[in-house]
Amino acid sequence: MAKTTTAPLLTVTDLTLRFGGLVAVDHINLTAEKGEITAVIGPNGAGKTTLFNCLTGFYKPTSGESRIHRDGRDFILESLPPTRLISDAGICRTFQNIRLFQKMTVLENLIIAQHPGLMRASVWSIAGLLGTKKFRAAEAAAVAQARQWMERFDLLAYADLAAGNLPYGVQRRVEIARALCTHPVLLCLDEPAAGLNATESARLNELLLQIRRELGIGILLIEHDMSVVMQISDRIFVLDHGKVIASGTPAEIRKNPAVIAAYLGVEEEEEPAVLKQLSKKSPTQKATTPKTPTKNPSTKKVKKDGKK
Amino acid sequence: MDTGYLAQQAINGVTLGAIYGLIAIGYTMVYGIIGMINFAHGEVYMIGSFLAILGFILSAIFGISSAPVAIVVVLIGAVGFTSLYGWAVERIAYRPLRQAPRLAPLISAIGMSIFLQNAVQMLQGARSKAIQPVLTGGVTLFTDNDFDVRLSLIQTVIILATFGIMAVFTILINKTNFGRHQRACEQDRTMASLLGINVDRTISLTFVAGAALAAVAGVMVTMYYGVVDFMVGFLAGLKAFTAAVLGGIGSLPGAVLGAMIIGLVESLWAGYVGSAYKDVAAFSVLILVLVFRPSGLLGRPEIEKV
Repeated sequence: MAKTTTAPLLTVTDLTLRFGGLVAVDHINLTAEKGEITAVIGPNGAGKTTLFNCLTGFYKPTSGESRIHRDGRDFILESLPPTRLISDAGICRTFQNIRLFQKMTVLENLIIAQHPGLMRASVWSIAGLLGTKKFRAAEAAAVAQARQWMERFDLLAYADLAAGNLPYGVQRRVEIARALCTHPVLLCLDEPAAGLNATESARLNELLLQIRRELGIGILLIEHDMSVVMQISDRIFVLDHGKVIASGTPAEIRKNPAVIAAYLGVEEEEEPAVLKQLSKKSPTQKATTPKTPTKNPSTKKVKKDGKK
Repeated sequence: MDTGYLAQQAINGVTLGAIYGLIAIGYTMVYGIIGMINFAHGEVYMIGSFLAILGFILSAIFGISSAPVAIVVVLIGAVGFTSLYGWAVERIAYRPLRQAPRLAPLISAIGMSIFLQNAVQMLQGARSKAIQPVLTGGVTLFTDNDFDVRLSLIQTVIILATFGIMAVFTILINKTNFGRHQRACEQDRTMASLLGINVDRTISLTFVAGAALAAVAGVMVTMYYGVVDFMVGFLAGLKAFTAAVLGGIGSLPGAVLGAMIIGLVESLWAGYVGSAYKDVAAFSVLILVLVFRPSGLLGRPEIEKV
């Protein structure tokens, strides 16, 4: 990929992951920019979460690489140990099935995400044990920052409750707040709106837009809830069977017949008919559709769940 | 029954319980963080006791005549060396097997325990080693029908040291970021490392902390009984493990509570029934508690989420 002065924040190049004979992620190319919300959508089993797992070190991709461009330096994610994904590359994620420290309070969950500074201030906890001024100051700063995010995400009332006991929607917000406490440059959210009601997901939209505007960080989003995706995304990548079948702005994606076909799960023999029908409705089809454009032979009604 | 005799046995029991408690905290912390019993922990304690004997002899040779100074020097030395052993045990017997099935590290820990026992036996000989009492004296609390209830100086030191250390550890686990890391690693190791926590280092430090406590227990026991051999780690380790399970493994206050109960049962049984079956009594308590409260006295039952 051509290196320009303004390289994208995240560049995924030819990323492929095979599980035996199954190609879960198939030569994916995508980019995410600073200050933009990039959505990854696709039917179940399209490989979205697998892609996230490759980015965050859970899986080692079979080939290809992902690179974060931060402060003029490049970090290859595949070669970083997990602990340094956040400290060096600045990538932090949330999970589809929430992974909070359930027996800890919300406040503790948020403080633990800010530990590098605290570890330095506490000299491996020795100063923490003695309660020195410097450590107390660092601790107070961590609490202040946690409090700020709790306020933003309406979590103050839950600060001292064990995270595992909270309602689902609240836990989701805690997870996002915790990821933000690590000061990421790229925030990866795996279905943040899943399980939220309409009001909650509208509020989430608002928050994500605010975060993008105020922090200027990149947000990479996996989402099924189209009301979220279409409203807040700057760019959308559509995955199906491990491949990027389309990318573009929400307006472009909405009109893309390949996307619609993938989502509706059209049988192969019906496909031409459906496409014809669709193109009648939206003749101006602008979306860039790499490799396998309108005809997607692998689109079947029943999708195998190849993730996790 | 004489209240005096009872009081005396209770004092002895609490002292014993305090020593078990120090070892039990090591078991419970390691279990908490990696979900496994460190079967080499008793041997780490035994090494602490040997180092104490060595330390007291050396400090006598170098002419440290003041007992408090000698104790502090020996404590620092024993804690330092034993911590190294704790670190090495984790590095050699556990870390290479972190991704292995649970049984593998268990076996390697037992192997480590046998190795350490035999290494000490070969280096130090099989005969038990003894030293002169380091601290003598004490106070008579009260006299009941010509029976003096005595609290010796060494007992006071042991009980105070144990509770002091427990207080420090409670603060360490609950208030400092090492404690937070530890609890985070306990609950979700992968997530902890994604948030940038060095999981390996946290686990290492937990082993080191446990070993340091075992060393303190070793030094205390050496001062209390004055005798050590290469096998002491086995029974003391087993008792402390029992205490940790009794209190609810993974719970720090539970370990201390369990240790106190085991200590008291043992010394009261020895005092009233006879010392022959005191171990049987201690382990029977464990069985009874586990029948009625399988997760221990202060342990919370694990509820599997479906």
